[in-house]
Amino acid sequence: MPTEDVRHLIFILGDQLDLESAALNGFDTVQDVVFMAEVTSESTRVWSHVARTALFLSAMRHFAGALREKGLRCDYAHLGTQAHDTLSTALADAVSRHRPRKVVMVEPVEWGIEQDLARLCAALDVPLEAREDTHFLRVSSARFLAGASSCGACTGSTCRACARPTISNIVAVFPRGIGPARRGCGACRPQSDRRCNTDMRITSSG
Amino acid sequence: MQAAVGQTLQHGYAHHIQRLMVTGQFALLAEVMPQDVEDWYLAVYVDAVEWVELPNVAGMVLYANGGRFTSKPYIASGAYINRMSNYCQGCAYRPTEKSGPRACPMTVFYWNFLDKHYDALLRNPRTNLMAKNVSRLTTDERASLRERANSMLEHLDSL
Repeated sequence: MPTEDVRHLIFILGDQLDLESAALNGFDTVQDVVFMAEVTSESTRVWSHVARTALFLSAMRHFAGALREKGLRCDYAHLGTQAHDTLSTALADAVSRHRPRKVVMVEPVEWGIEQDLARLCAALDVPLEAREDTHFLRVSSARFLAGASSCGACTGSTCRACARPTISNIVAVFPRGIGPARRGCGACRPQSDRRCNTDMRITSSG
Repeated sequence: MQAAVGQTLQHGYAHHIQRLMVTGQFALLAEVMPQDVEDWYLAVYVDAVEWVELPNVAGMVLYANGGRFTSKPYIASGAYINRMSNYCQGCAYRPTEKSGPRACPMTVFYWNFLDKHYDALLRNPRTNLMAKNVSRLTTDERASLRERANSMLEHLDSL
């Protein structure tokens, strides 16, 4: 595999297997490489059923095969032949081999992993572009930490009482009609004319 | 419990209500540490993924975040299990009994939970009716219920 002139190293995690992934937007078959890695820590960091681990690995291998069939270059680190303990060490190895101008991925759902990878890329002096997930309906960490928009009852982006983004306010940033119980955080009482507290009913989609 | 846990260990799978209203609510009523329940659910289910499992178990199953995900704790007595399943057929305990030698542990724990968290459950409109049932019991009945529940909690492994 060529080790030069790689523009984007597209890092895809085991729970991001989506052919329509935002990480693949604008993929250039000549300059870009997908990187996937089987790492032991993903099965040992917390308890994991052996069948679950097997299914994840199987899904990852099938996905890599599907990418190659579509003509995408895919660098895949197998357990055993290219043993890596963590996603960070696997990515560090891939970066050293490909020397990409940028690492691109979909924002990991695990905050700890996101932090580890961001620190790693900063240390390696390679830009990391973490794209917002279009597969799962979720709020990006950036929007979470910036403070989600208000549910209407709380006037600010954060809870008045505790001054932090609250789960209920995070839920409220989902488009109307999609959000589950759009409630105040308990500390904030709804304004009389704008009911954000939906009497504990779940608002259905549509 | 035997059916739900047995199926889980055999197939690595249980459906939503088995997880929420059988093993999960048992863990809640039996006051199992949330961290231990989290570990168990991660270990036994083929489809467990931490970022889904952790908030679901802590927030929905165990009410361990004080109700920020759900508006009430999901609890029920053995009578509910009996109504919704065939699990009680052939069981040594009677789902409707909360005292006596055949008292169902699930039912005893349920009433113990209502008794223990009476004030909080009374304040919540969704659990208000449940809690009011406790106020119909005499002081002696409540005391013997607590005693029975504590004795069962101390001998969970031999129930």
